Amino acid sequence: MHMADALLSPAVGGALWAASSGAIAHCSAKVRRDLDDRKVPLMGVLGAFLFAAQMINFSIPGTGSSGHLGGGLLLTILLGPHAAFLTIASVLVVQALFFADGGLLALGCNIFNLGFFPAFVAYPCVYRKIAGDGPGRARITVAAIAAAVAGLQLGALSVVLETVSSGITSLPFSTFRRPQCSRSTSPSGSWKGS
Amino acid sequence: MQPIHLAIGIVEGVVTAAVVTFVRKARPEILQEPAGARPVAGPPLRNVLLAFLAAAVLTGGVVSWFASDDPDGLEWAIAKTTGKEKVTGPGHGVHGMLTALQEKIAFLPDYSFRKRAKRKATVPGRKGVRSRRKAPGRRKGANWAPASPDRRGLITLALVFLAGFLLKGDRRPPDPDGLDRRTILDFKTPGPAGQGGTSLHRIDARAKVVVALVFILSVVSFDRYALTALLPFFLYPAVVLALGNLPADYFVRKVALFLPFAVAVGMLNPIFDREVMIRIGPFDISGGWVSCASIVVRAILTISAALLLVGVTGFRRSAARWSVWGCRRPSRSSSSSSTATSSC
Repeated sequence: MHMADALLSPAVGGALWAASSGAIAHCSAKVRRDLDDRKVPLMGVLGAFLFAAQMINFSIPGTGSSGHLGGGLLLTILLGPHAAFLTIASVLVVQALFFADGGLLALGCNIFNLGFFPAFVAYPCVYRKIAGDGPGRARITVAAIAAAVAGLQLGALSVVLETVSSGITSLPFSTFRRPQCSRSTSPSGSWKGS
Repeated sequence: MQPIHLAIGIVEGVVTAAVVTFVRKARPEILQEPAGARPVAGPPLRNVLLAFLAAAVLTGGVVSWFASDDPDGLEWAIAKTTGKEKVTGPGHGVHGMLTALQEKIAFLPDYSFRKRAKRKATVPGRKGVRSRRKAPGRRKGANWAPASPDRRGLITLALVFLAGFLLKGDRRPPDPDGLDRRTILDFKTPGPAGQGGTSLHRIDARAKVVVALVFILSVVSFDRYALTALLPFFLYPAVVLALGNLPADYFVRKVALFLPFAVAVGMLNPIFDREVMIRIGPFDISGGWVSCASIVVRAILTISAALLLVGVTGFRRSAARWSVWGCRRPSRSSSSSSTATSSC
């Protein structure tokens, strides 16, 4: 779900850069104020874990597509929204700068799509609501699946909206949102990563 | 975008639930809000940290070789809609500038070194080296891997041993009579190491010797240009240092003592092997430098394995164990002579 620069106009990219920067500033202030010192190493290690986990693409059977973990929800549950958002943002920055995974113009969008929605929408509105306090195993499972699906749906919708509002005409809203699952057009050997 | 990310979301949810359940069992207080007022009792977060670190190294180093080559959800949706695998940007203005900038900065585009063309051409299915950003499909991390499956086996073996060590990690507070700093390299006296400070010290010495040997063999068996593939191996010294309660600073200095020799061995390579292999920004790096660095890294790893073996066992003890297998036991009286290394 790392967007490339080609999907965005400078205006939309810049706007999302601003939004993400604002969120990062807010989170830094918040984390500096009340993060438990013992969670700092956990942040670092989870960042490394997220980095590695995002490299693993599992295939989605029957579609010719694959997906990788976003990891946003997991970090949010373990670290709290603010620290998690910062960790996700730093992972994405490293990926964009050093590994060319996701464009630089799109970096703001990527941070927003992969960080903001799980940390500040899916976690408080879905996960906490279902899991409640002191949940059991079953509740955690249900809550995590629901929240992960919700977070990713919002992120994917946000990708579509950003693309459409950028005026990328080759990706019209309705078809980009719901592409048909037919394997006919995709010889799977010819894919290039972005 | 929406249907395909529904499927991805379900997988993500399941994985998240599994990890959260694990953490809740191991360190329940991590999950408790608010972050502030919480009792700081019990051992540090070390076990959970090590578990995540091991998981990161395992997924990045091993599991990623088996990752799917298919496009991810976003790329797939783009391809379904446009019929092309990738939308191309304007290539000028802001886009062109940022793309150029990124190509300059990103030294590992798509998670692999820009390998020299010659090596690339011989490997089928990995083409387009110079068209940087699209090396081998979506299979990130593919180039981290050494080529042959038997090496993968060796690494996996080493990592399994590591996992074993991790699981055996002691849950008691650190032993105050841990290893004395001065005795880590004193081969002649068993020292506190021999008396078994941690669970690592209590493991049978033969097992530790075998693990160290496997580790050294797998490190040495890599291709001479291997560099990134060696990085996961640093987990071993780190974990043993942590679990064995060994003094890290002292240990690092001891390893550094040996480094000049490794550098001296490797120094000839850049002179003879000048073929450009990697580009990092504007700098061309020849194969000689890469192999030199590889030699140094390997030296660090093997020396640390040996030192750690001594550290968690005590030299006399590990040597004495060999007498079971028919080697001569070092005599007590020889401890006054210069070394005890000739015992076996």
